[in-house]
Amino acid sequence: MNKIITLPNFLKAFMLLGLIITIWGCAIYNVRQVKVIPMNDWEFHTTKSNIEVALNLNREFNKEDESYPLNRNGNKKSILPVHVMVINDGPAEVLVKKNSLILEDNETQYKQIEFDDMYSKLSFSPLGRYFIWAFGISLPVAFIGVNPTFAVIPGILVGFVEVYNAKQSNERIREDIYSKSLRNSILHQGDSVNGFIFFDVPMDKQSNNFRVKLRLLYNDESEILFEF
Amino acid sequence: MKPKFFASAIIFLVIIITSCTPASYLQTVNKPISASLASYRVAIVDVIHPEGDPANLEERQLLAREISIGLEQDGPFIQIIHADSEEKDSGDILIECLITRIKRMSREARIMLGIMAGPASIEIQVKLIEQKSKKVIGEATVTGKSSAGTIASGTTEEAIQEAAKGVVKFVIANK
Repeated sequence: MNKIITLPNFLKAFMLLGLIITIWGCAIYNVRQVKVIPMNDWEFHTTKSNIEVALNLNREFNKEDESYPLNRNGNKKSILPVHVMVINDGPAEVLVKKNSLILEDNETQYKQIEFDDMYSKLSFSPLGRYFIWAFGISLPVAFIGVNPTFAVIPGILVGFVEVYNAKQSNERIREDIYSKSLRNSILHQGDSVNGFIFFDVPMDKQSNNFRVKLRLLYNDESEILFEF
Repeated sequence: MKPKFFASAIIFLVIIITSCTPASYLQTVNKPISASLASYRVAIVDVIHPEGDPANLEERQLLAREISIGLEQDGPFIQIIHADSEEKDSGDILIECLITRIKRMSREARIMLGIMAGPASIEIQVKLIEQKSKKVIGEATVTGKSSAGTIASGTTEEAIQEAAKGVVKFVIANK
């Protein structure tokens, strides 16, 4: 036992832990602020019957893009966010419903991602991270000549920290998705609403062919269609 | 030394996996909803702040958010608003939630004590009030309970999320 617990072995185990943390990353999620941009700078912008609509498509859908709203990459998870803003300058009430926004190309009409599915796609698995840290690292450690039982102890400790991180991050992710999503709204004169609608779009899809339709309803159920 | 260590690790693993009882909610309808909710467009969610309020602001906001998420996905209303002092009297229907009891379980306690810490729970009295007439059109008691807990679950947040599911189910039952 004394031969196993030596300073070089300790250093090896911790260096390996450091390497894994560096490569794999911790379960940390920081909320990203969305920049407010002037109406004229939005990708699509139009006014019809005193209703102003602006739209932005995050075509790259990865977090390196400054305007991307989430702090986890959406391209691997097929999440394409569409930022929508509606301002009602007219006297009639206008109903904005999330499901009245359609994103399509020549082949497909893409599905909106429901809140719970968005959360599942973005959240961390606390238990998974615990097991990988606590036990998964003991095997690779054995390859560099350190007794695997010896590596389990720091692994369990890091595992506990990662469980805590993952749970805290998941709570932030839930709040972030909720606060950035477009709300169904009734807009009176002078009211506005803005937020994101998330679409399930595979990353290999051609982004230049997207068409967007937004159908808004008046109080008497007549509708007004915006096409971009 | 080695076999003992591995045996302990395996027992520890088994306890973590098998001890997990799922999160759940219990709903008791005190007064079934007496009207169809399809005619109400705007719902106000208000988690009220009684004297000696057992829940803190963060917990109340979490409950309001989770109820809103559920109602936006499955509910009959066009718009869901969280109540604050200005908006409480607006809208067509008020979903008033009074937190009567809360048993907390922090992430730290769960990680340190595991299943021995027991589940978190929260009890809510829900009233549906028609804003125009101020008449209570439905009433229920909902208890949300977290899982008994692996180290990765079983916190107060989970109990609140379960309770919110119970509130949403009570409301949409009559949509």
